[in-house]
Amino acid sequence: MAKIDAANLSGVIDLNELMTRCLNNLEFAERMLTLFENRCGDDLTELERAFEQGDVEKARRVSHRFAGASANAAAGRLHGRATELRNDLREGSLDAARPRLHELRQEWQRFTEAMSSPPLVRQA
Amino acid sequence: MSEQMRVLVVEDDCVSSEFLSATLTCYGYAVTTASNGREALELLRSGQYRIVVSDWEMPEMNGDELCRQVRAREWNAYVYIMLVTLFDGIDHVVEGLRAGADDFLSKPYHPEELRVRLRTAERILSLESRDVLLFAMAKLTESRDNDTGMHLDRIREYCRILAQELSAWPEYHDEIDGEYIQLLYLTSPLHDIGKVGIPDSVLLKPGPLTPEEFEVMKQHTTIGGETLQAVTMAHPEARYLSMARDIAFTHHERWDGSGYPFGLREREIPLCGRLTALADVYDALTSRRIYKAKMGHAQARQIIFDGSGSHFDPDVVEAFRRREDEFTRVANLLNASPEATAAPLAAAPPAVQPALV
Ligand SMILES: [Fe+2]
Repeated sequence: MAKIDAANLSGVIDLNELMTRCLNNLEFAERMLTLFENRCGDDLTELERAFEQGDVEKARRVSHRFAGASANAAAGRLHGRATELRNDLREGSLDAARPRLHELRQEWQRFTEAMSSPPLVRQA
Repeated sequence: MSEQMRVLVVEDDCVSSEFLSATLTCYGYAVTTASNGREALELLRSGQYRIVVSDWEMPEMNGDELCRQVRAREWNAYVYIMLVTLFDGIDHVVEGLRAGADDFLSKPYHPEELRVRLRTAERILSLESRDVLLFAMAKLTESRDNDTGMHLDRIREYCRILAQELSAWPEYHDEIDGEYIQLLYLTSPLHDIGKVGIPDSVLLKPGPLTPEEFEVMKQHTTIGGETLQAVTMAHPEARYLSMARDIAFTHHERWDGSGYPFGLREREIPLCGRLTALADVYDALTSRRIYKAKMGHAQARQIIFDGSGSHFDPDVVEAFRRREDEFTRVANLLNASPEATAAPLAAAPPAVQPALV
């Protein structure tokens, strides 16, 4: 289970918002983050496959779902990237949307790094 | 919540679904999840869910299509549907409303907002069951009424007119508000519900009642009042039930204490009972019954005025005096137009006029 570390996650997750949305229940928030990380990792893979297969509709659907999940997880920047990607895909062109996919992928990288880095050791 | 309200969450995204489920569970709801509209529809067929919180965009069947499908089925109990859209999907609102959605929530929602909106949903659903219950009870009452006309509709209109008039008086300002008038409108048709317990031989007797029969007839007040009292005990928070009970018990009480069943006097008689008493008598006087012709308004109003301070609460009589035009309008509209002359159909007037019982 993800352990919430405020210093690491600042910048990728709005922890105050996440905690509010999780009724100030730390266990709930951690569970949501783990779920979010797993689900959106899979979604990103699915998204890239949709691009490879030239399936605009599927790419749009998955990016929409991604946007919803990241809004729920208070991952503001990921939400922003996913929404831009979805909006571009609404225009119907995968090629035009490709740079957005790249940006989303980069943002995702930052998120997973923040999630996996060891908690900072605080000095007594 | 006395019993856990079941909520069906329809979401294809497991993160959002988990968020909703965990939050709703925490708020005391029993949550079931479906991952698309088709699955939701299947679950809804069980009739177990009154509230649906559904994502807008889903594979197989979108939220708006789910709404349309639910509405097309006309299930017995109303299903309240809240659609969840991403904030920038707010242009879906009109589309969703057209499809039959009841409410919208935009992602990311604040948990407190979700809670408040679900409270609203519950309130609306409980109002629906309240109105259905009252309607069923009123129909039951009507089935035992020998005047199959629009007696109950007129009663509730007369009560509304009187209550509206009094609500404008400073001394009634705190007692009669919009909700009171609404509840009175809904519950006054139940005043004679206890007649379901009166034997046909007495209830449907066309002629005068003997003193013994009259005693039996009087019991309709306590039969109705006690029945509604039992229901009130089970749902003490439901104001409409206690008002219905008070009306059933006291609509034959008289201002001077000479009425029944308790012989209450003046303000011991609940206001709703005092209002219904006048409405009931006016309607009985101005309606045709098997044993009598209807009486003209002029004659009926005189009887009401004469009863001020003895039979009726003087304030209620004064309210009637100020709004009597509306009484005649309702009487005409709802088919009890008072006639200028009163010609009794029966050769001799009954010892006790059943209509006034
Ligand atoms: Fe009665």
